Amino acid sequence: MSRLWLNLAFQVLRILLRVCLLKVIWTAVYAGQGVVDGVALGQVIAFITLAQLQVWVMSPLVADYIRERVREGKIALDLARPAPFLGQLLAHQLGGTASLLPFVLLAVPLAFELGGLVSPASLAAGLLYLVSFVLGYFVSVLIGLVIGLVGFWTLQTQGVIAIYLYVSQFFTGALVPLGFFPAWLRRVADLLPFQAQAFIPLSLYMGNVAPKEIPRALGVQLVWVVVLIAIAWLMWRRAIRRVVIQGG
Amino acid sequence: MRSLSIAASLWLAGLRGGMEYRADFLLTMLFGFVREATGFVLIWVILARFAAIARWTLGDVAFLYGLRVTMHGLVGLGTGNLWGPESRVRQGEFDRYLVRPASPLLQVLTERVPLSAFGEVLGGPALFLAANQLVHVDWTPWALLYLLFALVGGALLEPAIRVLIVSLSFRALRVTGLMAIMDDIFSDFGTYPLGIFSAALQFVLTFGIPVAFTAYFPAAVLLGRTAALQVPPIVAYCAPLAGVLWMAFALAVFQHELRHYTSAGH
Repeated sequence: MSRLWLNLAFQVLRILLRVCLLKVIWTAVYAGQGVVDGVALGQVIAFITLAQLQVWVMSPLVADYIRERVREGKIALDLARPAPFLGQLLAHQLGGTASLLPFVLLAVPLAFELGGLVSPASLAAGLLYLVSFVLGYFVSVLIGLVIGLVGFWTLQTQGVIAIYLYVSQFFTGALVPLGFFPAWLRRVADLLPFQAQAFIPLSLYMGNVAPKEIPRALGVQLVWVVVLIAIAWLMWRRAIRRVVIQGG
Repeated sequence: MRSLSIAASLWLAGLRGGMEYRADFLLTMLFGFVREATGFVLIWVILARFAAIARWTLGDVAFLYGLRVTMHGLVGLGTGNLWGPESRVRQGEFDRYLVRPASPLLQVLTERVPLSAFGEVLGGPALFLAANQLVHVDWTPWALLYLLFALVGGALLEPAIRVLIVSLSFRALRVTGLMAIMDDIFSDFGTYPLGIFSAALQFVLTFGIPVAFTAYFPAAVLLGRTAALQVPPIVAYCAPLAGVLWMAFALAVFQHELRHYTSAGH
């Protein structure tokens, strides 16, 4: 088995472990109460299982890719290629996500078995979810791009990437659905882009969003896509003028 | 004594190496802090809404959490570099450790100092002291002595498991994924009262992978919660010993497996 495949198999295993742990934790705190704040235990578990899978599928691979190219000085070669660098990055990202697909097919039934999954609340909810998923994917990739570009200044971005993984995981609601956040923390989460990655798509999927709130939910995602494109573009314009080639 | 001073110089050199990228150094340190902070905020948010988990209150869980993060920080400072050897073995670069006049394991451990551990050795004790305000621990001299032993013993367990896993790489096995999973298990499963898990899983996390001996048993002892444990209280009291035993076993296995290194690629 190739290194890549083994690596992905371990990723699936880690996600399944986390799903198991979160299920145990939520079951323990519910302590036999069927419904808390109008949310049933089964719904929380299904939400978190889906969120964990989704965060994984949306992994912004570009961040680590840029880090590697900058660190090893290979960025020089990339910039000299006829295809624009941002295009190369997009290709790398989409290819990487596509390579996950066989493993997603493997992980979903296992996650269903260990955690819990539910089907979309309705056909419309399912379709809205698809739209929202694509927007969430771009928010995730764009954040990855911005983080990767930070490397043009700091040369190393391991720290930023690692911080991003943990902070986004928390604020996207993949550990605690945002509905259980204390009011002030919820306000913080609402101001951050991370909710666009899992919480918004999954709230649509589960039918937790009132019909008149739907445009606002998708609008928030769209605004983040635009804002992040603008940030990434500004950074890129500056980054290109201060490339440091390491390792010659 | 001489090897101690060599270890210290190597460790400092590793630290300087890591500090070359100044901004990333600070951010990696911050990461150590953020990783544990998000883990704790998760419990805190849950327990702000639900009063207790397996009868452990927020104070109890914070006490356990602070203890574990402190241990994990100590682990990281000393042995975070155990992630490295696999690729060295694979590329035949392990030779360089074998021809130098210091123990190969010591050289591996000090090659690079994992900077994230600094965030943990600062954050862990802070959380522990804050939690101590919320719980009622009778800090007799014996309790303090026990805490000291528990910290050392607990900090030996995780590296012992890592050394065992690294030993597998000499037989050309890929171990990085396994290391990551063990890290997850110690970090994620070790910060909750073990009582939330099924009896079978509690058994595995006690005698298979010694997660329970790390922070959970010492915390239960100090918080006076040994009566509710799945094991006799005496086992929990002896927790610091577990670290010494596992480490001794791991070192013996490492020495044995080292002979299987074949310097691939040359």
